[in-house]
Amino acid sequence: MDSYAIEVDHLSKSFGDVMALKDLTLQVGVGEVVGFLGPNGAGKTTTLRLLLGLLRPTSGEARILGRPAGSPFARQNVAYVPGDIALWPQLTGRETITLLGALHGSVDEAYRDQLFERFELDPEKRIRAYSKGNRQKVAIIAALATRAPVLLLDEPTSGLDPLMERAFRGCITDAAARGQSVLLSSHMLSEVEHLCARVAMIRSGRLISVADVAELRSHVGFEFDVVGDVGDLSAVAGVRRVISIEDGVRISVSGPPGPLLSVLGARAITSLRTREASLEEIFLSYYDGSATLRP
Amino acid sequence: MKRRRGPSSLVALTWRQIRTSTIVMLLFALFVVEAGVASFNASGGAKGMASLTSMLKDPAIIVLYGKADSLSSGGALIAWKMGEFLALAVACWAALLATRLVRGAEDDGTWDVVVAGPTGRHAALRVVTGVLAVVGFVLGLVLTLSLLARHQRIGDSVLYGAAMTGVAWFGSSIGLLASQVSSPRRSASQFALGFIGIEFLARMFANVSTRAGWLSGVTPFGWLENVGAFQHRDLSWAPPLVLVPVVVVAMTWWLERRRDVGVAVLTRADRVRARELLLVTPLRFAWRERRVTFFSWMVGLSLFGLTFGSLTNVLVSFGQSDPSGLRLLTRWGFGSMVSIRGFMGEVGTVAGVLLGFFVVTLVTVLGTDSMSGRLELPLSYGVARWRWFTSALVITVACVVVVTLVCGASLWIGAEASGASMHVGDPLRTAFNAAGPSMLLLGLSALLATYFARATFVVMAAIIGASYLLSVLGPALHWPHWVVDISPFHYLRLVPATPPDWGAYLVFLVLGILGAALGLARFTTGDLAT
Repeated sequence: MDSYAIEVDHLSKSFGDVMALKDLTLQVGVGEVVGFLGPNGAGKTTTLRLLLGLLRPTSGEARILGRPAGSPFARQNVAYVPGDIALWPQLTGRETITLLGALHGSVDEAYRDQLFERFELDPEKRIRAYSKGNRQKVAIIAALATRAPVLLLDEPTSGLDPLMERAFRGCITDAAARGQSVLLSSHMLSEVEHLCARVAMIRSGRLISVADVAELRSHVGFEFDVVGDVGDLSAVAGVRRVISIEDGVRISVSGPPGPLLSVLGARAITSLRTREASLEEIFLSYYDGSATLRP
Repeated sequence: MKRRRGPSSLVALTWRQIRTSTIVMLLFALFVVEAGVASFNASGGAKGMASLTSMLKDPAIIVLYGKADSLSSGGALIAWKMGEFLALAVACWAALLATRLVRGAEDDGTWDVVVAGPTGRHAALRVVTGVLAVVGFVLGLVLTLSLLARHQRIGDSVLYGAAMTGVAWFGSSIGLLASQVSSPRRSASQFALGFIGIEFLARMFANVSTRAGWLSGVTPFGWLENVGAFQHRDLSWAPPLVLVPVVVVAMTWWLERRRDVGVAVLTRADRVRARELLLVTPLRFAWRERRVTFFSWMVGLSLFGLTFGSLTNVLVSFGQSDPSGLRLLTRWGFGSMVSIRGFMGEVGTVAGVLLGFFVVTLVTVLGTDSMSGRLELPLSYGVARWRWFTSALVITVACVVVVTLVCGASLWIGAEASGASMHVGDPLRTAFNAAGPSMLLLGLSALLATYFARATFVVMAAIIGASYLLSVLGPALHWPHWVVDISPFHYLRLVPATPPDWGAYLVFLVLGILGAALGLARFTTGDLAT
């Protein structure tokens, strides 16, 4: 990709003796939705705050649409949904969105009103009267209504009910279709799986991998529990492991299961059950550090 | 597994939240005692104070400081000259502690976490009440012990300390009650402080009018005065200092059982029509954020101006008619009060302190917003940090100019009403002269707000209070020049009796701009504090 909406180049950030982010390099293309995953305290929010110019990097640089993060141009082209939302309790939802829109400089008012309906938010209520989920909606609507080319979203659906999560996914899909770029930090793995073309995984301040979701899917394995005589499978493509279980064997396969199924079809087996490892299991293995992603 | 009882953990948590301000208040009380006794000794002791006897009967003095029969000891001087204002400070401090611990915790959700445990909401409120009661008791104990350490009479020292404990309990109970009645914390605090302010005015009014004398029986400041520590000692006024806080606390506990956590008894409508006029630029929003504070202070400084303006004639007449009293006033640094213009100058010093507090209150909003995380969204939405910062300072300067103007005008109105004729320009010059140190305090607080946002108000309040006392007591007690020169209020000339110290103004301005510039540099280039 020739130009990037977000470029992070060897970015590091330390708070005193604590190194929160170490040599992070990442790109998000125009119109791309990239998931940003990692356990608590991994450095996701620090990265987003660096991209917003709220924090100053210790080393390296971050760019939004080719300009330094935090510069006037970058700020005018970014909208943000923080994970921990703090708003003025005496303002109403509408007043808050108006304030943020005015500070941003551009608001699609028709779209904003449409978002009020989509997210079923009563904008005339004071912030202090909103539930956590409704305060989250205020931040989401404020961000989306700016139509900013770059959206930085830090766990945006925490506190939303499943219906609102679906509405959110619809909005992000629409935004990407319009060419907006999204960096989505989330623990909702199904959300990331649904929305993102790529995922970046971070742990202990270090980027451990960036991969296409499709590529991840190709690594998704299968497990076959087989009863009967399976013979020697060591030469079969994709077979990684064969272990004995109570009434047969368990065969672990990576990649397409076709070669194994061809072989098994010629063997004397009486029962076959299969299970696909979910993308979530793969993510979790990265979270707990038990796996590294293949390049 | 290590187990800890819920209430003891809550006591520790509560104390941790209030220990800094409690220590500051205890140090302030110690300072008041020390300065009062030193001032008494420097004024020639009981013999020197005898010259003030006629002044003690002056209605204007009684209105300001309360009643006193004689000033025969350092304790008597403390109880009379500083007692009412110390009591006001203690009551306000105790009320603010209570609103912070209860309403503040309910607003930010930490109360939910506390009361969701085995301790429960009712017990948690009882624990907080108990901690506040102990803190008030410790304050009284410290006052008593410090008076005894300065060789004051045992019975009076105990009585004065106990009465001040009662005042602290009154403030706490009003703060606790306000936390049940009003929300959010700012509103509850205003409710409590407003009530305490009315109580103080009631005491003043009771002392100025025989028909309204009964009012002193309904205010803690009247009870404190009537108890008469170091004066006539009348223990019949002691019970209200204990019983009224107990009744108010009982009301608080009763109300607490009849409302939901997080919701006050009186609530404003949660659903209102949006008013967007003041939301479209950082400058307008800075005004919207500060306008309630501005109007509150404007009313307060108007009352201050009217009160002191109306006292002009009586106080000036006293200085002119009593040579011995004048000698003492001169020793205390108030010798210029023999003329109307000199009196205005003296009032200007107090106005300077109040304007300093006003500036700090407005600038502190910047740090509060930052620490609460509220700036995260606006500053990531295109607005430049320098615009946000300078908008706050521009609005602060504008508010100070208007309030200074109003203060000067109300001084003039009060003086005219009392028959002290003067040109309208004189009190205005007084007020604007008084605003001089505010330039320095603005820069300093702007700098602090970007480095130590959480401590800005406490530190600046301590600086202002100490600077004022330094400027008043330093010369009277012959402290070294270099110590007295530290106080910005020391450079306030008695305008309009004497010309302003333009050199000092220039230094205030340069240092103020320097502080603001350093604060701006930090705010724009550093990490956003949360």
